Amino acid sequence: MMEWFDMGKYDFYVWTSIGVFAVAMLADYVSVRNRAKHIKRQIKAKNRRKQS
Amino acid sequence: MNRIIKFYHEMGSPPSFYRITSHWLTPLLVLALGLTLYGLIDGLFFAPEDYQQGDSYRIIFVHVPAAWMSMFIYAIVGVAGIMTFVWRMKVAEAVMMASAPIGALFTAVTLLTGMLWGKPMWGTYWDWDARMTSELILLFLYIGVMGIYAAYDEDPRKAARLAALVAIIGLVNLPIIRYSVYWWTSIHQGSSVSLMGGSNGIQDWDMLRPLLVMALATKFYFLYSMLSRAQSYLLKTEQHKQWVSKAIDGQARHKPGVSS
Repeated sequence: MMEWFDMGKYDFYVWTSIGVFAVAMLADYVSVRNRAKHIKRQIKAKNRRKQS
Repeated sequence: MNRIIKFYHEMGSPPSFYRITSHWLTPLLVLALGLTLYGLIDGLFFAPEDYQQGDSYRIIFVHVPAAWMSMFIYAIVGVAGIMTFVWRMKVAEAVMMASAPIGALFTAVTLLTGMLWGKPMWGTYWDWDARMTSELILLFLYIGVMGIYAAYDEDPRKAARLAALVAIIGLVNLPIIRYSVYWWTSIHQGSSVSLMGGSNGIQDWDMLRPLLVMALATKFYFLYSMLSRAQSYLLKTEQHKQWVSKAIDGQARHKPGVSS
């Protein structure tokens, strides 16, 4: 199993690159979701204040 | 033709844009995730080794799709900038400002993975070479567009027009990046794949396939991220309008657990 992950002498460079890509995409996804949640909560709170 | 024009006009109106794109988000995310997993597994474990670069060339499967996206997204920012500036379309403002962060991120990924590829192949992480310098300028342009918008916070519509101006001027950088490896002597290798000229660098379909799959995956992810951010942008800038409250409450009604 481990030999699958073997990139010869390039282990560090290849896997760090894949890591950079994965972390960047994940960070973007989290930020997109947080932004959507945040603005929706804000608008809901405002609507509630208006109703009461 | 009529349907295309109708669709264009619908997409230009914030409430319809919000309603239509809401249906696209989940399929886009699923496609992006599935293709990324398939492309990475195919590229890292099944594609053959390169006869010159060994396993190090596998960085191509994240580096090149990210680089393509960094330029593709800037073209979208620029075109949306023109639409913002000329027609003052609100949805174009949203698309422009929603594209900038993900474009900047892809540019940063391109630079970082490029450095990680450069070290074993060229013996250095960084060189002030035409390709690298112009890609770094692209990152600064993205930051400039976002920075101008954030700096002018009294009126978001005026801020968007100012940001659009920076975006339009920055378009001149795209052909410079594209042709930098031909105009100047560069340590960066030439294109491996080109839209018109076919694939003259990569001959092996088993190497080309994961690259194209990853290119598609990043396109889908960009669409997901951009549309979702554009929705948030429209909700935020239009929050005093009726359609926003309706859209939010409509969503809440579908979930019985959430009271509005």
